[in-house]
Amino acid sequence: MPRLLALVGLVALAACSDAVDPTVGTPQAFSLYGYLDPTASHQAIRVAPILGSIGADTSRTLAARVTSTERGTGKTVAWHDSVVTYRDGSVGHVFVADYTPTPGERVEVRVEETDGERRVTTVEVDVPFLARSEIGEPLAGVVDTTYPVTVRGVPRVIGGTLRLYVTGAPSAPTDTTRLVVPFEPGQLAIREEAGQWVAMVPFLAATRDYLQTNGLYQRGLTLLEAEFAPFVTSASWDVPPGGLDEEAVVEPGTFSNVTGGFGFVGSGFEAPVRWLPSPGTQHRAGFAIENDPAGFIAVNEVGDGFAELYNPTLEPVTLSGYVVTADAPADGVRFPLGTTIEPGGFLVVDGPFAPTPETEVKLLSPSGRQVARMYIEPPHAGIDFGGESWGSYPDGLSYPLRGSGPDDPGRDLFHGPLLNTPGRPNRPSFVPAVINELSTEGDGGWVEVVRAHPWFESGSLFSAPRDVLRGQPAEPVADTPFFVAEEGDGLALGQVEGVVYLIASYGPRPDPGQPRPRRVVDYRAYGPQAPGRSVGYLPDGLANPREPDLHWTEGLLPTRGAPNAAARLGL
Amino acid sequence: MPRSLLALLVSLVVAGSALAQTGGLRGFVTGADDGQPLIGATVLAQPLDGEGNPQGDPRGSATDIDGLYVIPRLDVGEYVVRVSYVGYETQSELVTIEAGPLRSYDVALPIETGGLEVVVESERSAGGARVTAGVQAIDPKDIDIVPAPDVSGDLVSYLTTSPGVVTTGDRGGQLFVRGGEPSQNLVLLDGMALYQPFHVLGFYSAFPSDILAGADLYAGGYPARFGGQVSSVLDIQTRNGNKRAFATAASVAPFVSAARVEGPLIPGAASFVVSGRKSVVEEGASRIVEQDLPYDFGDVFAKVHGVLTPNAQLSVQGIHTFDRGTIGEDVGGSVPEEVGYRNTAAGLRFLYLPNVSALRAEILVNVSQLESDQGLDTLRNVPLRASSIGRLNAETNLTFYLPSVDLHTGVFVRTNRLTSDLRLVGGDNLREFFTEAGAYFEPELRLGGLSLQGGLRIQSYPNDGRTYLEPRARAVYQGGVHEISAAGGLYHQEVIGVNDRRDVANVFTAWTRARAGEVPSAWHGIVGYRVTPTPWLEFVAEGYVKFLDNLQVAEWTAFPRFSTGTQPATGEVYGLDTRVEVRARNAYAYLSYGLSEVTYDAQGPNLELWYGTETLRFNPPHDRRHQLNALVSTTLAGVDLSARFQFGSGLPFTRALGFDRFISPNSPPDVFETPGTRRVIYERPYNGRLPTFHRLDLSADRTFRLSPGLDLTAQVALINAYDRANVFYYDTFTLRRVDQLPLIPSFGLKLAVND
Repeated sequence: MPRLLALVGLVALAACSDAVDPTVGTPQAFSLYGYLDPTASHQAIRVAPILGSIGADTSRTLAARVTSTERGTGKTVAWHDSVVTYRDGSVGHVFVADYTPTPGERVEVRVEETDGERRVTTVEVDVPFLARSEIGEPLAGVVDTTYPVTVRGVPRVIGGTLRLYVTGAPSAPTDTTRLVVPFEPGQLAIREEAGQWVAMVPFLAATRDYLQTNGLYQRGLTLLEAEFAPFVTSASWDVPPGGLDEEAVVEPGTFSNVTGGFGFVGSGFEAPVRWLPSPGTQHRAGFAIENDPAGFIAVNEVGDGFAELYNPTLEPVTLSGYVVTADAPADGVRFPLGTTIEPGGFLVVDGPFAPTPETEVKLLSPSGRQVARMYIEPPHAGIDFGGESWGSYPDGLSYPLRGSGPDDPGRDLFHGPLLNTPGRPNRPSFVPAVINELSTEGDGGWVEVVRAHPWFESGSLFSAPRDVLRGQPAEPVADTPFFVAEEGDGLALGQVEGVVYLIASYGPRPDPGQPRPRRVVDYRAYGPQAPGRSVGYLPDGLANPREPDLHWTEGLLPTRGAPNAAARLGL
Repeated sequence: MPRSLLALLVSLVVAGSALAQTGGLRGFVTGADDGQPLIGATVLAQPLDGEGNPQGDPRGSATDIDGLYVIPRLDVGEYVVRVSYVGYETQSELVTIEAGPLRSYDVALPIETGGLEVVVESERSAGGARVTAGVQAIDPKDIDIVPAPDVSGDLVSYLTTSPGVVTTGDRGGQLFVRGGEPSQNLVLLDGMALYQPFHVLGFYSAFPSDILAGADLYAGGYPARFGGQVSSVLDIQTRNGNKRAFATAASVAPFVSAARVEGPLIPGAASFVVSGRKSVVEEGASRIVEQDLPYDFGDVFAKVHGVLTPNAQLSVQGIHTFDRGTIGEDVGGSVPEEVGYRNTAAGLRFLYLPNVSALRAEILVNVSQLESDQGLDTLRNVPLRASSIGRLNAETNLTFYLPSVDLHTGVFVRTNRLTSDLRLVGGDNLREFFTEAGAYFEPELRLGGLSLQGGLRIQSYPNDGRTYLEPRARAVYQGGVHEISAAGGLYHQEVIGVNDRRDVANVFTAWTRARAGEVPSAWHGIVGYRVTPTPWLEFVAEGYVKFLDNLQVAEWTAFPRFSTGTQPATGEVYGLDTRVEVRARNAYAYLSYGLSEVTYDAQGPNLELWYGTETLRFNPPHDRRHQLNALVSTTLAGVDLSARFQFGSGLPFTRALGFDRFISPNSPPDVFETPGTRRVIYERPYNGRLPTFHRLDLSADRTFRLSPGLDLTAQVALINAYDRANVFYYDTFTLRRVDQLPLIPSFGLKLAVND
C-alpha cells in the first residue's frame, strides 16, 4: 500500500501544472461605440481595445489607426486619437474627425492595429437622410399634456431630448438657462405609423416632476421656449420601444454591427422642434405665469379700421367675452360667445382702430384685466415709410426695451411699420436688407446679408428670439453689397432646421445723440441642408416685399460674400 | 388528514401491543465507566431449549445512537443474551422472555482490561468503507486519524476524505456533496438544523470530534425521515457528558484553542457537557506562515442529558457559532468584502419507550437560525448585504416494531422565517414567514439477508397550497461477505440559497423561497456493492446519479462581479465512489477515489441571443472530475502517526476572451462623458480548468500520562507538507491567483483530566 500511495503521489506531482491559462484570446481587436452625426462637423467614436485584464485600460496611447470611407462619394477621412480621462478614472480613446457624413451614404469606419498582429476592426454605418420634426396639437388630459412630434421619411427614431429655455433660474436669474428634462423609463412613447415616426412628448408630467425634484416648481421660473429633439437614426439602430435589455445586450456580440470586434456604431441626428406651451399647461407644469388661457395671444397688427390678434401657441384659445380696445373697454369690441382663435391663426377685429403713433391697442379679459397690448411707437425723424399698419414682425414676437425716462415709453425690437396684411402673416413695410444666403456646413456656418436700401447701416443675425441682443454682427464684404455673419454665440445654424433673424439699424443719418431705428426686418426658416450646399436668393435679393419666398432657392453652390450661383450639374 | 393520521397511529400502537404469544427485549447499552451510550454494540439473543442448549438461530440487534437496542417478536422462552462492543468486556446473561410487552434489559459494559484491544470486525458499523446505499456512518475515533492542525479532530476533515465530497478550497466552508451545492445540504445536530455550520477556515466545522457520538452522512438517496434539501444529509449526534465523574480538557494550537468540561449533575442519571473553541489564527497561524489570514471564528456547545426513567431520556442542547473573514483578496482595485455568519440553535430531545408497546418514540423541539452578512455600508454602519434564515421545529419520530416489519413514521410542523436585505439590487428586501407540516411513513421489511425499505414523505405548505409527495426506497442485501445496496427517491427544496458561484471567493448566500412552479427538486439513484473478503479489508463501490430540476444558478452576465440575479437550470450528476479500507492490528489505511461529472443546463431569456441555444450546458465550478484520498495511520513507540494525501483534478473556471468596455446602445452615447461599463468577454462559462490540487498532511501525536487521570497530548503536524501551491481561485479580471494555504507547521498541546 505505501508503494501504491507513493506511486499515485508521484503521478499526481508529475501530471499537474501550476500555471493557469487565464484568457482564451480573441481575434477581435477593438470594441467601437458612438455614432455618425450628419448634422455635425465633428465626429467621435470610442475605440476600446480588447485587453487581457479588466483594469488594463489605462494606457494613454493606443496603437490604432482609424479611417472612414464613404462608399458612394469615396470621401476618406483620417481620424485622430483624443485621450479622455473619465470621471471614474479610466482612460478612453475617442477618435475624432472634422467631418460631416453625407446623408444617405454608407460609411465604413476601419480601425487597424498599428503593431502586433495588425488586426482590423470595421463597421459599416448607413447615414440617414436629414429630416425635420413637426409638432402637433397637444393631447390634454387630467394629469398630462402630451405633444405629438412627428418626423417623416426617416428610418427610425429611438428617443429624444426635452429641453427648456427659461429665465429666472436661481443660479442665473437674468440669463437664459437651458434645462434638460429627463423621462422616466417608458414615459416617452415612440411609434411608427404610416411611414412616419411619432413621439408623444409628456411635457407636463415630465416637466412638473423635474421642476419639483429640483426645487424649481412654482419658484418664478419663466419658460421662454420648449424644445424636443427626436433622435433620428439609421434602420440598424433597432431599439424597441421599451428599450433593449441591458442584461442581454451587454453580452459581446449581441446588438453589434462591428466586424472583427464588438460594440455598436450607429448613425443619427437630432431633429429639434420648438414651441411655447399654453399658459395653462405652463402653469400646471410649475412655471411663473398667470393662468389666463389667452395669455399668449398677441395684438399682432393695427391698421386703419382693424386690429389683428395672433395665437402663437399650439392650442386653440377661446376669446368669448374678451375685449379689444384702443381706449376704454366700453369703446372696444367684445367677442361674442364661441369666439375662438386657432393655433397659429389670426383673428381680425374690425373696429375703431388706427395705427396712430403713441397710442395702444389692448386685449382685455372679460374681467377687464389687460392680457396683451400693442404700443405704436412715435415716428423717427426723417423716416416716412408710408406704412399702412403697425405690428409684430415676425408674427406675435415681442422684445420690449425699456425707455430712457418716464416720458420714453421704450420700443420693441420686433415691432414696426408693416404692409397692410390683415389675417395674414405680417411683412415689414421697409426692408433695408435681407438675408441673401446661408450655409450650415459644420461649425463654419454663415449667413450672408445683402443691402436692399442705402439707409441700411448695420445688422446682426441671431437664431432664437431670446438671442435678439446676442446676435452675430454682419461684417461688410469689401466692395460688395454683401455682409456676412459667422455662426457663433447667438447664431446657431443647425443642419436639420433652423430660423435666422436679421435685426438692422437703418435710416438717414440722425441728429447727434439720436439713434437710428433698430428692429427686425427679415427672418428665414430653413429645413434640412445638404452638405456642401447653401440656400438663398437666386438672383440675389428680395424681388417682391410681399413674397419673401420668391426666388428663394435650395442647393446653391455656397458663394459667401459674392453673388449667388446655382450648383453646376454633378457638383 | 390529522384525524386519519391519529387513527393510524392508534391502530399501530394497538398492533404493537398485541403481539399475542411473543415478547421481546429492549434496553440501553452504556459504558460502565462514564455512562455513555455505546453505539453499534451487538446484542444477540440465543434461544435455548428446555435443557439449556442453543436451538435455532440467534436474533440480534445493534444499538443505535442512544445505545438502544430492540429485539421484538421473540418467542416466549429462555435466551442467552450476549452484549459485546469493541474495547469492552462482553457480557452474557440468561434472560426469560414472556408474552406481552418488551422486556427492558439495560447493560453497562465495563472496559476491557488486561490485554490488547481485539478488533472484532464483524461488529463494526462505522468506517471509511462502511457505506451502504449512500450512507456512511462516521465514528468520532476515525476523525482523529485525519491529520489536522489541531490536537483534536474535526468532522469536516474527515468528511473531505469522502470521495463524493468536494471543497473549493481551504477557505469559505463550502462543501459540495456528490454534485450538490452547499445550500442543498441538510445538516442536523441532534435534530437541530444548522444552515452554515462549516467554519470560514476549511479545517474546522462546528463539530469537534470530542463532542460527537457519531454522524451519518447521507450522500444521496436518504430515507423519508429527511427532507427539505435536495443534495445530502449530515445527521450528527452529540455525546452526553460523563455521568460518573467530572472531566475536562483544554488545547492550544496555531489555529484554534479549545476547552471542554463535563460531568455528572446527578451521578449516573444526568450529566452536562460544555465545549468551546475560539480561533487564534491571527495570533498563531498567520505569524507562522507570514501571511495575512483575516479569519475569526468560534463555537460553543452545551448539552444536558438525563435519564428520567428507565423508559425515558431527555436532553437539552444548544450551539452557537460565529465566523467572520475576508475570503478573497484585494483584486481589481476593490477591497474584498468581509463576510460573516452566525448559527444559533437550541432544542430538546425526548426519547420514550412505552412499556405497553413495541414502540420507540422521539420528540424534538428546536429552533435554528443563521444570520449572514457581507460588506459594510460605512455611511449607515450596516452590512451591504444581509440575509437570515430560521425555523422553529417540532417533530415526532416513531418506530413501531410490528409483526412483520419495522415501521418508521413521524410528523412535523415548522415555521420558517427568511429575511434578506440585498442593497445592491435596491428594494429587493424580503421578510417572509411560512409554515410547513408533513409526515413520513417508512416500513422496513427484513427477509433473511434482504432489507427492503419503502418510504413516502408528505411535505405541505398550507399557506400556499403547496404539497410535495416524495417516494423513497432503499434495499440492502447481505450475503456472506457481500453486500449489495440501492437507494433512491424524490426530493424537494422549498428554501433556496442564492449564491454567485461565478466568484469562488464569494460565500455570501441569500436565502429565499422558491417561486411557485420553480421549486428545486431532485431524483437520486444509488447502487452499491461492498465486500469484506477478510476481517481487516473492506472494499466498497457506489455508482450514483442525481437529476436536479429547477436549480437557481447565478445569472450569467458579462457585467463583472456580484450578481443576485438567478436563472433556472437543470443538473445531472453521475459518479462512482470507490473506497478501500484496511484495518490491521497496528495500522490503518483508507484509500478512496471518486469519479464524477456535474453538468448544469441553464435556461435564460438571453441565452438564445448570446449562444444561439436555449440552454447553456456547462460544468459548474465544483465539478471535480477525479478525487483521490489516501489516509494511513500507525502507532510507533507510542506515537500515533498519520498521513493523508489528497488529489483532485482541476475545478472549472472561466477563461475570458478578453475585457473591454460596454456602452449601452439604448440612447446615443456621449463618448466624451460616458466611460462605459467594464465588461468581460466570455466565450462560454467554465471553459477552462484550474490546475490539479494535491496536498500531503502529516501528523504525529503522543499522549503522556502525567499522573493518574491527567494526560498531556502533544501533536506535531505538517499541513501541506511539500508546500504545494494549490490554487484557491483565479481572478480572471486581474490575472491574479490566490493560493490555498502554504506549508503550515503546527504544534499543539492538549491537557485532559479524566478524559
